[in-house]
Parts: sequence; structure tokens; C-alpha cells
Amino acid sequence: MTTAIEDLVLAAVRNALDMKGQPTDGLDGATTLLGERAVIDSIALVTLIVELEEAILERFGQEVILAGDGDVLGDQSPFRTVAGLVAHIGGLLDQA
Amino acid sequence: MGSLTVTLILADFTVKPLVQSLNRRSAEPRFAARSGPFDQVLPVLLDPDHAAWQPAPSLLVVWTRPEAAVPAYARLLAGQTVAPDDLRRDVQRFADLLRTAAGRVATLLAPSWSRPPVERGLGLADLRPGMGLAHALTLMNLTLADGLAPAGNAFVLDSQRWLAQCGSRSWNPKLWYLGKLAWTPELLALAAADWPNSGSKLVAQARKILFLDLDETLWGEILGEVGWRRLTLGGHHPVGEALRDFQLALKRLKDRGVLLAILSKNREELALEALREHPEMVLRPEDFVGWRIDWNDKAANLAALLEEVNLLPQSAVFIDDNPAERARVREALPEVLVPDWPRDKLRYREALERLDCFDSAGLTAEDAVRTASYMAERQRRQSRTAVGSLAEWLGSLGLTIRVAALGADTLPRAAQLLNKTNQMNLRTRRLGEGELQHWAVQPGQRLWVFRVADRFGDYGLTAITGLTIDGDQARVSDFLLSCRVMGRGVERAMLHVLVRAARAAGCRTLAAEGLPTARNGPCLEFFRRESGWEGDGDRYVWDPARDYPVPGHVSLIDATRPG
Repeated sequence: MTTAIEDLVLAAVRNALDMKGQPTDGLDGATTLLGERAVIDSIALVTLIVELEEAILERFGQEVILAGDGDVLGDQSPFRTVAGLVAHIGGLLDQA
Repeated sequence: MGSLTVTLILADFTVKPLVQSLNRRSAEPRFAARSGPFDQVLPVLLDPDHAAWQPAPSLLVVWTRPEAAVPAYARLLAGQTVAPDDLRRDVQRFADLLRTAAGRVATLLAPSWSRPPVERGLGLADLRPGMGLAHALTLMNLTLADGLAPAGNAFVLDSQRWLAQCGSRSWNPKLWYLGKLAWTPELLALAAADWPNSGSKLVAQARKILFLDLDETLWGEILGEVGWRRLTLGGHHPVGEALRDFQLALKRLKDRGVLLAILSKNREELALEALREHPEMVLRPEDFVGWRIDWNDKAANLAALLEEVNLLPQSAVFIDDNPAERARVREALPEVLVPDWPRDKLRYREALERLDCFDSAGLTAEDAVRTASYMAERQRRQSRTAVGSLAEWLGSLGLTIRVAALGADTLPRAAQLLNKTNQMNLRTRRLGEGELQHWAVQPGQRLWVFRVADRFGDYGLTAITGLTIDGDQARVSDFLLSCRVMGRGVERAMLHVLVRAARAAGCRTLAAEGLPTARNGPCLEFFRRESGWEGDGDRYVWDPARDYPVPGHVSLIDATRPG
């Protein structure tokens, strides 16, 4: 399932970069989504999160709340890297 | 490649995706867009010295949420009963602010207020006065549109069009709570793609003439095979109805000032008979500025017709059901817009309505009679062949030129001409109505408008010229005229007015400095070869002490008002 989740996340990141007209090659688990070296800005990250929630519902048939308490940008944010976000989603799906 | 339109977006929600979409455009017009400080719409509008105004934008977009801009609507949202007059009063105050701001820019755009489409409001009662949100928003948008109309350069954009396209994807509560995005990036991208053809500053991009095929385009069937009585057009037939509706849409375009012309491989006498005689025909021969109905290459015919009406390929659109003809014109005349055209005739009107290349900011009296004006031009040309020399022909026209200072009545047409004229334009200065009006009343500025008529008809307001006077130096600020009146002596009458005004102001020199563009070669050539002014490069001078005569065949009527 991890591979399927990573595919979803990478597709969403590619879409966000496409929207900004930026190159989409070289994306992997280490790609930074939040912080100094982030490939997308905070507004694009918010959009990505909302898109991912819808994509997960469609792909796995389960409703997950990736960001419900507003702590998207904090130090402990699970959205810092693609790998972190994949693990976060995997954990939520396991709990569901 | 044209210059960037400096754009300021003031909003009370996050518009970063909108700014990015505008700045990413590769097609003309292109933008250097930025957003103002978040949720500071009123402070920026109220303070002309606010840092957000620098660098000075030519396009201002003010996009607000109704509850933030209109306190009475916020009260309605909170469940209070609000009288329609309270809503009107708040909206009028907001419109006053926008009108003032419109004076600082070439164009102001304000997307209409909307609600997320998923909100049902009060259901059945949502259009009830005093309580329904849908009623309130309709009232507010109409009040805002009425309030902005006097500005001339300020427009309410219909956001419902974007909402209708995006549907439930136009809004997401999580985007609002997490990122203060009132609308999804998808809707914002649609808006960014939609409004570049809006606004008077941008009208220079508008296409002016539409070339149309006949068989299987204006009507169904092949005329030469079935005769005009058996053409599919109108009646109780889905294709006939659709083609009649298509013609009605074309007629509306013509009434907005877009010229129509025919390019058809047919026998001319048969085609004209069909246009005249078919009882369901909407477009008649007099609706077309010209036609080439023969068996020649359509690209060559199109180029010849363009020359006849003195327009450039960049002004033209070509519609033909035949993909081979479309490919030929695309190849031969790449600047002509040749839209892909549906095979399904039931979709013709939709395809036409989707074209944004004819968008304009308004309608002037000159637009409404443009085809008639070009028809008169055709008569003039015919008279040209009947008269011997050019001088004799000019003398036979009975040309009358009426010059006046810019006034409130002539401002809309003058701004339109200023922003649309390319070929006979010395400096190609683009200003919105508000800017032009503001500029013209500054000390040292003079601006005149010219109406031209002859025995064949009235060309309308077709030329503008202006002076900037600084001590004993006078400089031509604008010198432009419609290509329809080029080469008739209007140019010389304009120079006469400039010289006379410079002399009256006590100026010792009068200079005209051309700014070369890709298109204004004819104007620079006029100054170089025909004006008689002494030139060096693109700068030409005349000693105001010397009179500059009005051509003998021109009757110049001076209606200049003091000041």
C-alpha cells in the first residue's frame, strides 16, 4: 500500500508544480514540501493536502483528515517531506 | 512581444495562485501582477499614498468577499433582517471608492460577488427581499455595476461564468480555513484566463473583421447544387434552426462594430441572390463590408479584402467548415486567427460565443455604424476610379473636418481610438478614459478631437492630436487617426491645428517625436515624406511662426472650446 500512497502523493506534488509552471522531474521520498528547501509554497501545500484527502477517499474508499487542526506548518508537521507525508497517510489509513 | 501590463490585485482572501497564473501567461497580453497586502482592500483604496500603489499599476483588480466589503450583507449573513436600501447604500459607498481608485489606473476590474454554489441559503425564500442571500447578492451586483458605469474604465466581471464552469470544485471549506483561499486555484486560474481581453486598456487586442464561408457555414447544403430555395436554414429543422441562430449571433457581433466579410467558392450572382431572397436569411448583403465569391485561393482573397478595408491580418478572424481551407489560411496568413471549427452545425453558435477575441469594453456610436461607414468607403473608392487625378478625387469628396477640444461627450470614443489605433499613430500612447481625462486637464496639456465627414457619409470621431506646452517649447503628445481617413488631408489639417495652437501659446519651437513600433511605420513615413516638417531620425520640427496651411479641398470647422 505504501507504493500506492507514494504514487498518489507524487502525482499531487507534480500537479502542484505544474500549476506553478515548475519542472516536475527528480521527485522522490526525500523531496521537501515544507521549510527552506521546499519545492512548493505554503498555499500550494494547503491545496495539495485538500486534493490528497479527496484522492485517498477515491482510491482507498476511506475518509482521512490530513490536516484538521491547522498544525500544517509547525515544527512537528508530517508534511515536511514526501516520505513523511506518505508515512502519515499510511498511519491514518491503518487506524481507520 | 508587447509590454507587460502592471497589475495590482487587492483582495480580502489569498490570491497567490491567481497572481502566479497571470504572470505565467505566455500569450498576449502579458502581466506583471502582484497582490496588495492581505485583507487591506479598504486601507489601500482610501490611501493614494499607500506603498501598495508603487510601482504604479495600469490594471487594478479588486476582488472582495461580499461580507467583507458590504457591512449590511454581513448583518444579513448573521441572521438579521436587512432592508434593500441598506444594502444599496453600502454598495454605493464601495462603488464610490472604486470609482476614485479607477482614476489612478487605466482599467479597474471587480469580479461580481458570489456565494459558493453548494450553499443553499434560505432555499425557497432565498430570492425574497430583506432576508434572502441570493436576492441580496443580485441587488448588490447590479448596484455595483450601475455605480461603476460612470467611470468608463471600471467594470464588474461576471464571476458566475467561472463558477458555472468549476461547479462544486470552485470552493472548498478546508482551503478557506487552512489557507484563506475563498476560491480554489482552479477557479482562480479560470479567472486569470478570462479577463485579459476585458477592459478598455486591453481592447487593442480585439479583432475587427470576421471572414465567413457560405456553404455549410452560414447555411447548410451546397448552393450550386441545390439552389437557394433548398438551403438548410431556419424552419422546423434542428440544423436550420441552429444555423439561423448562428447568423443571429453574427448579426449581434456586427451591431457591436465587428465587420463581416464573405470568402466563398461559389458563383457570386447565385450567392448574392441567396442572401437577398432566402426568407430565413438573417444576414443580407448590406451586412457585409465586402466579399470575394469566386474560385480563387481564399488566402489571397482574404489578403485582398483586408487591403480594401485598410486592416491588418492581426485584426482578422476566419471561419470555414472546411479544414483544408482553414489550414491554407493558417499557413499563408499566420497572424489571422483561424479557430478550430466543430463539424456539428448545432455547435456553431456555441463555438462563436466562446471566442473572446472580439471582447470590448463598451459600445460607441461609431461601432454601431461601422459597417455602413465602410460601405460608404467602398462608394468613395468607386468614385476614385471615375475621377482622374488624386487631387481631383480629393476635391470631389467635399471633406469636412470639425475640430473640438476633448469633452465628456467625446471621451469614450477618444479613449477607444487612442487604445486601438496602431498604424497612423506617432507615439502609440495607451491610456484609459480616466487617465486620458486626467491628463488632458493638466496645465500645459492640449488635446483635440476631429470628426470627419464627406459627401458619402460621416466617418465619426476618427483623429486625435495633442500638445504639451512647456514655456516656449511645444511637443506633440499624440498624433493618431483611423486608417479609414488616412491620405485624405486630415493629417495636414491636424498639423495646422497644432501649429496654430503652438503659435497662440507663444511657443518658439514645435517638435514631434515618433516612437517606432512594429506597426506605426505609415505614421512615421508621413512625417518623413509628406508633412513638410524638418526631420532628423524620428524627430520632426516646425517653426510655429510659419503658418501650416489647411489643404484646399478640406473645410475645417473650428468648434474648439476655450480651455
